[in-house]
Amino acid sequence: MLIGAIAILLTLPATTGAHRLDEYLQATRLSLALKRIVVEIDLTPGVDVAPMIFALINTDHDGRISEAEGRAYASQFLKEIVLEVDGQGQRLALVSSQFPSFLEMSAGLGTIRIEARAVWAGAPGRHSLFYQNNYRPDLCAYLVNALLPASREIEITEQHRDPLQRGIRLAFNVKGSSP
Amino acid sequence: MKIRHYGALLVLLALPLAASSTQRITASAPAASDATIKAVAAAKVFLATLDDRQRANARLELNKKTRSNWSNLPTGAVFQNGATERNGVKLGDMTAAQQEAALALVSATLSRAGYQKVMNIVNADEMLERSSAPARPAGNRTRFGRAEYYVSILGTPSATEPWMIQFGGHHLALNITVVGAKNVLTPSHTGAQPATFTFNGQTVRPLGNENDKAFALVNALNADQRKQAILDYQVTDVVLGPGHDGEVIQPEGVRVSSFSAGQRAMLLDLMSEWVRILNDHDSEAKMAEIRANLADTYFAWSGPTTNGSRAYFRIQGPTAMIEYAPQGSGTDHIHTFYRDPTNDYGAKLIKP
Repeated sequence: MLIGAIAILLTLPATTGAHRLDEYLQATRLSLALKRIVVEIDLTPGVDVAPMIFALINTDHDGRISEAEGRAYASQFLKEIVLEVDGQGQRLALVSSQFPSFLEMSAGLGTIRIEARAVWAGAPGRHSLFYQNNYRPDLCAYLVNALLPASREIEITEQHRDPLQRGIRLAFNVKGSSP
Repeated sequence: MKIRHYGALLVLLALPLAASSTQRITASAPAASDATIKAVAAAKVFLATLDDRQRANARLELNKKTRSNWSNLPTGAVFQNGATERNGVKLGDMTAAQQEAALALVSATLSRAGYQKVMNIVNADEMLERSSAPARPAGNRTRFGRAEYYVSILGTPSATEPWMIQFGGHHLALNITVVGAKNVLTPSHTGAQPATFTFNGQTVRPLGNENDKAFALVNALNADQRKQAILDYQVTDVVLGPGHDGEVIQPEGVRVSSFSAGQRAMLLDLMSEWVRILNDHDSEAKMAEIRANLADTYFAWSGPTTNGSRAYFRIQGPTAMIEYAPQGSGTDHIHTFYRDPTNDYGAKLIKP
């Protein structure tokens, strides 16, 4: 079967390309394990907000995000994250952060990636988790999801989000005590 | 939310008509199928048309790093895996004969309808390039269009050993793993912008069936099913796009075990829009597998249920995960992803 290439003259009607321009998409994935909770967040600024976000990070205004600037921004960001297990606040420690260039961000194609972890001892029984992202609600769009736990000892039984997905509540069971 | 508008324009378009991160990957595989034999032959013909430099770029080792180098993003962006370029050789760097051989290879692995869908996506992107290029700022490396679709072969084309064909560009990532008699399409990405355009006097909607069948299904649910299926929060984008290999999210929505026979048939018909991109032999086997797991599959929806509205949906089962997400506030820019949590890149068929 096949194939020839033909040149065709086309007239297009007006079309709309709907790029996210003035929102800062923040997509979070939560991984529950018996000894830790991992939070991975992808932050993608739209074209219109990218210069402002870049300026917030690039504090020495040299046009490049240094390792120290990236770490400082990621740490500041994590202060706006609420993570609780069974009503107790959990401290999130920054594990890694990656930053795109200004050119990528200004095209709306650059994603900042932040990974953080909380140490948590998964005692057998029923538990609840609450996560909320309070960073710049004036310009953010949100996604938050729980990954299927890798350990068969953990079973997520319920999940509820607010209408904007800024936050999520999980109910889960820890079946056993093995690590 | 603000959105960017592209204007009307005249486009000259060429349309082909036809239907450990670096650890080597090996497998023992059953005898080849006709589909595999066709793919191997087409791959050899394609490689033979290339010069030495092109061939070195087109053929790469098959490993975790090379196979995961795909994206929804256009040329010029940094991809989710950190790469700045797709694997392989792009159509724009090929002669007409080489392009024909490249597309013959793609065609050999797909169904007739699947190949047409793929070409419709490529044509949509060509229109995007024509509309966006005049306003592109100097120094912006972003490029859309037919010339920016890459073909690569990972591993050695073989009727017995595993290898892969990748064909991708903006809004398209076909990752076809060939292991003996079996061809696997997951993970793959289809998208469209514009989502509707006029081509040769015909209205083309590359992902129109996906949209229409999904709206028909959600409207065929009864009140209880709709209450479970329709999420009470907004979903602005896909969850498991590029860079999320191996991740599985907690399922949500209505469980298909509650569906009537008619509703199940509608869901299968919807899923076939992704599954049947692949050649008929392998897509039939995949549909049978999905059918066997249907009771444990979930259908979730976010947004209005009137066709033409902006709505996200997800189908998640033991061996298939499909997401459909309009981008921004409108419906003219769509991303979809199709994964198999048990068999992306032929994981079930290949020994690590």
